[in-house]
Amino acid sequence: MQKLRFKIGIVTLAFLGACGPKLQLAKTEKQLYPISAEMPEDSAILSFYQPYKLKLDSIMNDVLAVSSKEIKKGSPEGTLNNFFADAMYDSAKEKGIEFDVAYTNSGGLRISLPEGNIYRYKIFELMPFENAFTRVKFKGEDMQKFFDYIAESGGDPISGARFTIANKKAVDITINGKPFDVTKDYVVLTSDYMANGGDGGVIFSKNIERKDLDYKLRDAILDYLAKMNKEGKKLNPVLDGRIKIK
Amino acid sequence: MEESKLNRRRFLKTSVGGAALLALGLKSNNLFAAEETTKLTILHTNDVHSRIDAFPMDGSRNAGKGGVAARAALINKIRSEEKNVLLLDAGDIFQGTPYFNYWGGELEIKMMSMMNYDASIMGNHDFDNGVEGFAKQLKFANFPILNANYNFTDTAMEGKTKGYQIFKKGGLKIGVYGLGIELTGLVNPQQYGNTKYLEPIAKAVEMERFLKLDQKCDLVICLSHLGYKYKENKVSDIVLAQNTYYTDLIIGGHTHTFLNVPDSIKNKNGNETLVNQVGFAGLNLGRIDYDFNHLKSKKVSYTSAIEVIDNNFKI
Repeated sequence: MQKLRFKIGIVTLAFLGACGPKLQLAKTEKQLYPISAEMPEDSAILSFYQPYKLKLDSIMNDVLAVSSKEIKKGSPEGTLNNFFADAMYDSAKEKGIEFDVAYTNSGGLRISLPEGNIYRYKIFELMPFENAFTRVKFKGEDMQKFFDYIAESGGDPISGARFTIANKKAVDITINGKPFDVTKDYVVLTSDYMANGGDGGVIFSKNIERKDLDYKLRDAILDYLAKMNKEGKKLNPVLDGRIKIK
Repeated sequence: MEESKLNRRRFLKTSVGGAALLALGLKSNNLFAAEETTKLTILHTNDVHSRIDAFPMDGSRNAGKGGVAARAALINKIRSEEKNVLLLDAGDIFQGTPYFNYWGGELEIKMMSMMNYDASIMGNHDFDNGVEGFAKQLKFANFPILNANYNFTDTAMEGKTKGYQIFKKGGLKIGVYGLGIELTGLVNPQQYGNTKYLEPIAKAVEMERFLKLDQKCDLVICLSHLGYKYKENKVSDIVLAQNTYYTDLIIGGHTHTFLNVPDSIKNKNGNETLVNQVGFAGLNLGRIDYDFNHLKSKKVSYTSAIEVIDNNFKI
């Protein structure tokens, strides 16, 4: 009996109006079936998708990198947030793209990365979207609002900047080691999805210049992992206090 | 005591999570001893997100869980046990594994057809390859896509969805309508194109009045991709339940919420509306059984049960 636990809830009586449909609802039961590894599998379904699975297995199962720990999303900062934003930053700089800060939305990171081997399919699952980079230039005052937007959401993946969240506003901002200057223009490198105002990013409509680039975010992550692998480095992103909460 | 334990054990071996059902069944038989009833079984998923294989055995939290083949086998088993089954999905069929990147959702839709889904709706990620990308896969669907609050005029989906569908099962009429989430600020404008989002509560009230009052449906179900609930003032399944009159069940999605039992919400008529959502990625199959009295009794009994099937529990 230990294998199956169950609770029986209360039986209550209620009253329904007499008019309406011809049948009366008498009883409701609800169940949840977790789909587990030991369950039998439908052979028609398995044989249907087997050819597709074999094709994917032949192109998605190469090990791109090795991670020294599980890499997880977090708020205001997470190892996955930092890994992702740093990979965006690093790969874009390698391509000669000019910008100050790399940013994406936390909601766009779809899975954690496990400890150990990182297979290609994991990067597709982490970044399944075909989103490409966009450069967005802000006036200083809107750059402040951009940071406030991140602060209000509790923190998002960012690279090239550090700040503190105080009362849902961004304070003590530094950009590439220098204090934020409200009189200057800044360039944020993000996804076309965010630049289009995705995930509530209405601030992006305030840009004074926008340039869409032909470089996908997923490819940037793949390039970054290839570089790490070539250098013999394991993935080990850390929390470095780039976003703090006061 | 000993005897009942034995009975239960035997029952467990032969039936899907049978113990709770058995216990409840006995109770309800006592309550409605002389009445004829019709049973309707609702099975549902949401936010499957192209999760075709089970999660890989890599030691992570969901390792070995989910997978279309296991879900299909479970659905087949339930269909063999129950006469009146409706299988529904609450959207975000697409996006999340390379199957979608390579084949654009063709496999997902084909396999839903193989499992005989009765209806689904479009979630925000079902726009990820554009309205055209979804329309392209529709030819593989043998079930309707229900969306009452998207106007698809001048898009590739024009004329290809319905607001509602009425199903007849065992003498019951079940009205199902669909609601989608606001696309602005969530989906790239290029992807949703000329799709117009209509205010969902007004649409829901229109749909449920039609289905319950005009069409005399015995049960009204909403398939919703609005999301379970929000901190901010934003329409959600909970808000919808509180502001509708005749919707009996809201099967939700979008927020990937794991509810062990459906929420019971008092609707505008003071009656109960159930709100359910079963996580994401096909990790769970939801099941709700309704028993309908054929007598015009005013008394209605309500029974709630939950059971947890452990990983090593074989069905």
